[in-house]
Amino acid sequence: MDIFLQNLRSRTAPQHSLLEQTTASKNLLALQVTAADYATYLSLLYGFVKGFEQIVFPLLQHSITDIEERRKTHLLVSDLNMLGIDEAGIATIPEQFFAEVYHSNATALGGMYVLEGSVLGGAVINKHLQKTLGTEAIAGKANYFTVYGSETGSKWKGFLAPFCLAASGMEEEVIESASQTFSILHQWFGNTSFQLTNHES
Amino acid sequence: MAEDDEEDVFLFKEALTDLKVDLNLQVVSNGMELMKILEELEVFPEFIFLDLNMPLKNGMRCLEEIKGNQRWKDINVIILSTSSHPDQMKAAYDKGADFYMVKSSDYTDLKNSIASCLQKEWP
Repeated sequence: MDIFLQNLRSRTAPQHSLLEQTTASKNLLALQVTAADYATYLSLLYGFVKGFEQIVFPLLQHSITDIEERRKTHLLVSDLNMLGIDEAGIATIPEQFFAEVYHSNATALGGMYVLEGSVLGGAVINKHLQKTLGTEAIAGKANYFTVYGSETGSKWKGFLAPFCLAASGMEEEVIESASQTFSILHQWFGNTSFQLTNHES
Repeated sequence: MAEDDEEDVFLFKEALTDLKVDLNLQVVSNGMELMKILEELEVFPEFIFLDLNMPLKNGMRCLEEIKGNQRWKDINVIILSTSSHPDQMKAAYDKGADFYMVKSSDYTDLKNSIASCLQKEWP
C-alpha cells in the first residue's frame, strides 16, 4: 500500500506542480487575491467537479462505500451564490464531463484520488483568504475548502484504505489516470476565457 | 512533543496555557530522543506532536516507526510542519499521521489550530 501511494505521489508530482502554476491557482494564492479571483477558481472547479460527480461517482459506489458523502458540487454552488453568482451566472460556467477518460474503475479511481486530495490543503487556503479578503468577507463562502474541517485527515485516511484495496492489481492504470487528471485540470484551469456574471466585486 | 525549535516550543506551551488545556507535556528536541523515550515507556502518551524537520531522525522516519509498531500505532500523532503542500500532507497521512497542523507565525492562528486539533473527536 505504502509503495503504491508513494509511486502515485511521485509520478503525479510534475503534473501537480504544473497545476499550481496556472494563472487561476497563482491568483488564488496571491496576497492581492480578490473575491473575483476566488470566484473564478471555484467556477473552474465547479466545471470539472459537477460532471465528475455525475458521471464517475456511480462507477465507484461499490469500491468507495461512503462516496455519496464525498459529493461537493453543492458546496461550490453555495460558495458561488454567497460570492454573488446566482443560478443564472452558474449556468454560464463551462462544464466538462470527460466520460471518455473515466471509462473504467481504474480510471475513475485515479480521478477520484486527485479530486478528493484537492481539499487536503483547504484549511490553509481558507486561512489565506481570511487574511487577504478578511474574515467577515469570507465567512460562509469557503464551504468547499473547509468541507471536512478537523476531520480532513480522518476523511483522507478513510478514503485511502478502500481506494488502495480497489486499486489492487491495476495500480499502473490508476497512476496513469491520476496523472492524466492533473493534466486535464491544468488545461482546464488555463481556461480563463469565460466571464462570470453577477460578481459582487 | 518532538520539536527542535525552542521558539516553537515556547509558543506552543503559551497557546496551551491560554487555551487552558491541561496536558502533561514532555518535550524532546530530536527524533532519536523521541524513539528512545517511547522504548522506555510502559504507558504511552495520548498524543505526540511531531515536527517533521528535526535533527538525527526526522519526523517522517519517526512517524513510520511509530505507526509500524504494534505497541505504538494507536498513539495519535499530530504532525507539525511549515509546509502546506498537499503532497507533503498526503505523504504524512499515507504513513498514518492522525492530524496535520501547518505551523503558523501568527500566534492566534497557532492557538486556533491547536484548539481545532484538540477539539476533534479522537478515537
